[in-house]
Amino acid sequence: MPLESVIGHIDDLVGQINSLISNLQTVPYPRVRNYLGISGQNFASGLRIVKEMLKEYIIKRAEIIANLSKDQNQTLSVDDVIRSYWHQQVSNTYSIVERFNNDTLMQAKANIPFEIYHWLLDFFYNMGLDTPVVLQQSNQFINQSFKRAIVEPLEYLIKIGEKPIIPGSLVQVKSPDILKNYPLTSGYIISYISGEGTNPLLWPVLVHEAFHIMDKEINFMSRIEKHFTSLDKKLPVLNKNPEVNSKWIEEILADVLAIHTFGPMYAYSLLDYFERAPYVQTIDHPEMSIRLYSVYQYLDSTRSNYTDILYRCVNSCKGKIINKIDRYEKSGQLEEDEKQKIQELYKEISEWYESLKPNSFTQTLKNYVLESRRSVSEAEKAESEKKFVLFPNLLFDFDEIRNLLLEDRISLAIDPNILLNVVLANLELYNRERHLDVLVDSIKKWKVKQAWQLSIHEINERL
Amino acid sequence: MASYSGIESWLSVIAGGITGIGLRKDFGIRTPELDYFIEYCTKTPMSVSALAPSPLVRNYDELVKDAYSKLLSMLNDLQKEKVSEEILNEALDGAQRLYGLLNAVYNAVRANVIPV
Repeated sequence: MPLESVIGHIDDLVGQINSLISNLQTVPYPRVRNYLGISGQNFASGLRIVKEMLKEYIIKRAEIIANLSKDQNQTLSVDDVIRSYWHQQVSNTYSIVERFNNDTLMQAKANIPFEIYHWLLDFFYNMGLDTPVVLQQSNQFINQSFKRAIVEPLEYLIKIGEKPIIPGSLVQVKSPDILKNYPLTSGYIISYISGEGTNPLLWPVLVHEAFHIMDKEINFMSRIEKHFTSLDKKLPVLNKNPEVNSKWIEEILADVLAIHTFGPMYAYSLLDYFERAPYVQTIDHPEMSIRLYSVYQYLDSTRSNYTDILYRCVNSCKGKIINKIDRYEKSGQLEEDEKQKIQELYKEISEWYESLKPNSFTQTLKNYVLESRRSVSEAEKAESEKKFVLFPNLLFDFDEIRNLLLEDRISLAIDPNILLNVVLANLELYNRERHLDVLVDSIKKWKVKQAWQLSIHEINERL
Repeated sequence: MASYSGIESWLSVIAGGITGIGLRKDFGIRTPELDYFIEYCTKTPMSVSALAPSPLVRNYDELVKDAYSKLLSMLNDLQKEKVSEEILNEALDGAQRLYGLLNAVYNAVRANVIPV
């Protein structure tokens, strides 16, 4: 059979993906396991679509051309026809199936802790989204839908396969409704740089990618535009091309929402990534100076009276960023009118975001302080009434968290966003060999505590 | 946004164009491969900056734009009832050159980091 080796290879890859899926039982979190399974099934469907296309379209079309060649006294075999006319398409298809296989492998063999995976999925959960999202080792931080990753490269073949090869002729290939035969579950992939999987400084970049996905699901951009319209304003013009301007604002929006939700150290994460992988503006991304100045607005304007954690993190981060902003200003990379536009954009995005009553970092801190105080007073009351003494959730300040976690290596069941901000503000003390396990255990403890509190709440509801 | 799938999609379209031009040249038939290739290229601007990160844009944008615009200039002729062998040969060379360039961008994207 023509293309036997490619088709046989695709069958083998489907088998490999199926065996990967059956080995997902070792993944400790059901939500992560479920999403990885969905992704594996989607890529297996992608491989089956490619196989159908090779068999139904390329081979059958090549057969028609081989017959035509006989009429013209050329006698080409089907293999000859494929080699002469479709070899780039076959080669491109082979690259695509290998990429599908590699993507699935890089998702299943995560080198990022599963606790971080779970932490990231909570950002979606808190926004009311339960769309499947998987993480993938790669050489870049990007987000894309399953449809884009799997169907987009195959669209051309699907489209031409619907038409007869010789227009007007009855000699044609019957087109199966290929996408209906192999439907994909909708969802997204967030890729991260492999070597950074265990680097907490770059985990907040995943939050930025998460907000791009939420934008696709909830359409933040159109909501922001409506917010501006309701104020009789227009979105600032950072680029004269409206399409590029919109993409740039989308980037800034993802940055601003990420810093509001994750906390101040997102700015440090962004700065560090820009130093590792500097770029000049593209049609998708505004200059680094514009993005850093946007998140700097948060550091310059956010206050909290509940604990010293925000203040200390903001100060640590400001110290790292202010020199960079100064240099941008002095070198003319950040003009006065640009700064004003960014300030206005930041202000309006922040006001709109606050109106959603989100799980912002300041809200997380407030909850942490109030819940700790409440649990301490409940414990004191129980003790005075000689009842069962509950173990109180102690309130730790910035220095205490730093010392317990990074010096005494004690895992703390505190919201991961608070812990990660304190760790990133003390990154000079962090050492992967000594602290990664403690940090990951802390997140695990936090998840157990959340589950415990939820069950207590449900028991109380029933009583 | 830089993406493998965006480049893979373009590679597939151009590979289809190569098939279509080849079949037109050798068998004189105008296939959907060629028609869709012409339709897609006429409607879709190609820019490396939409497909790849900035270091690659600097290296490849001019080359790709040049190869693409030369190919676009031949599309009108390819749609005519009669096309000379010379035009078909030129179009085939042009499509193959563009395929080669995009393939190089694809390999480079897979090996480089890009903006978040």
